[in-house]
Amino acid sequence: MKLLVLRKLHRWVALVVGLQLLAWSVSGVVFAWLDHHGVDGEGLVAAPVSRTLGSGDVGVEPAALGLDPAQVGALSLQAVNGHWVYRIETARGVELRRAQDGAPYRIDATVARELAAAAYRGDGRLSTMHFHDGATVETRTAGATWQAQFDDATGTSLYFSADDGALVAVRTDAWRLKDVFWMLHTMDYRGRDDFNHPLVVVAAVAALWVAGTGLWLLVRVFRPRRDVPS
Amino acid sequence: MGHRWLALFVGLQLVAWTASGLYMTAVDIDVIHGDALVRNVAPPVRLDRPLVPIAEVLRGRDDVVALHLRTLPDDGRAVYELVDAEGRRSLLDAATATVLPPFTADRVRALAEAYYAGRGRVAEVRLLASDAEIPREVRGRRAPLWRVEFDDWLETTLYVDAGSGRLATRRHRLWRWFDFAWSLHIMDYREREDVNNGLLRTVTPLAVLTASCGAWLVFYSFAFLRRRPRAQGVS
Repeated sequence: MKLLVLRKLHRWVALVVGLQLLAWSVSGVVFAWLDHHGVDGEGLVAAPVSRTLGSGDVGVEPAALGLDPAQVGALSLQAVNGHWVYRIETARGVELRRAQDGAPYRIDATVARELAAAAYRGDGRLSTMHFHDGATVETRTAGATWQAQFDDATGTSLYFSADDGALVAVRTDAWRLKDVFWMLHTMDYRGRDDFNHPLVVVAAVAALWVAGTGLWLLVRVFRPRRDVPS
Repeated sequence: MGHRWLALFVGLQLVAWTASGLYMTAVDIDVIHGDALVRNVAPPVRLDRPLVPIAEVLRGRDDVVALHLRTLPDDGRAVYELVDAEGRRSLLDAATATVLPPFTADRVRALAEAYYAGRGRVAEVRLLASDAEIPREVRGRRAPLWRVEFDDWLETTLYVDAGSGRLATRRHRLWRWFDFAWSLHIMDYREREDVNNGLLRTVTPLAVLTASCGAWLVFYSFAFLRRRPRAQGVS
């Protein structure tokens, strides 16, 4: 009798979360069979060539940049697009200043195009450049970006931060396919990455219930002594 | 019956998937990452003190590919952090341009205490000198790395980069459980990172089959009961 109640509860909960159980298992198949090298766009991007910083590259010292000393959270000297620049983090964001003369170095369309050409190792050609002034579904929390779209078979997009020129995302059609199923998997239909919201937790509890009772019913049914009509 | 036999075969894994999934969704990822266990230690860069010009620091050197001006969190000293092509980091006192000696265990303890925001105390400080000594929980990290264990109930462990003194990463009990849950979830029990492994590729389609059979049974039985509500008390 208790098993009958359990079986009913198993069915009713399964009725409610049935579609999500299917969505989870189908997306699981997709994750398992989609080659993660293709999803990550491996081989499409060259490792950045590290240039050696010389004494003559620095024309202006940090103290001479005219920064508010109380505002600077981090300060680095690094190569961006073959130029030595100071990368300065303040509460207002990130800015680049040329190490040679202290002038602002902006990641404009021309610089972004050069960054894309230097980074790309695929067999396509750059087709379009787009500027995004905020987050997109393909860049998540990366802020303002330049999108370099290539005409290769994998639909490669390289995204560069509009703040400091860093390569922030490599996206391919395989990634886009995976991301749709990732959305179904996390049940975060807006941002796609949040897997700690109440809906998915409740669904997970229900799924554990269905799987647990299902397994329990199964074990009981396979026993020689049957007290459940079947 | 097909549903049952299949489900018995993958039933255990279904329980593993849903249980590990529940753990990963129920515990906030910021808690897993231990955000509350460390202070956001980036002391402001001190530009108001006299520093040795960078041009002078670089004179005669040809191994620097990036440079950071930082303030150390424990003693507040301004330092230049030099990065070479291999990613190795070394520190220079920015006020005198003298090379800082490698961190001692006592100094690493002081740094770790500056990074740590919990209530425990340092239990052990150990240098991981070679890549072979890197624990699996931080696989992919490079030696030399300091491992600092605290005696709190979360078994917090801070990893401090030996070259730069930066907080490289941290681990604690809930994070380790998350790692374990993840390994169950992707069925890669050793390396815990290969989502394309053969086992997962085999069992996931069976899960789809089980869920489909189950869904069909549920819908069928409910439809059956609706049509002939008093036929039998069996499901």
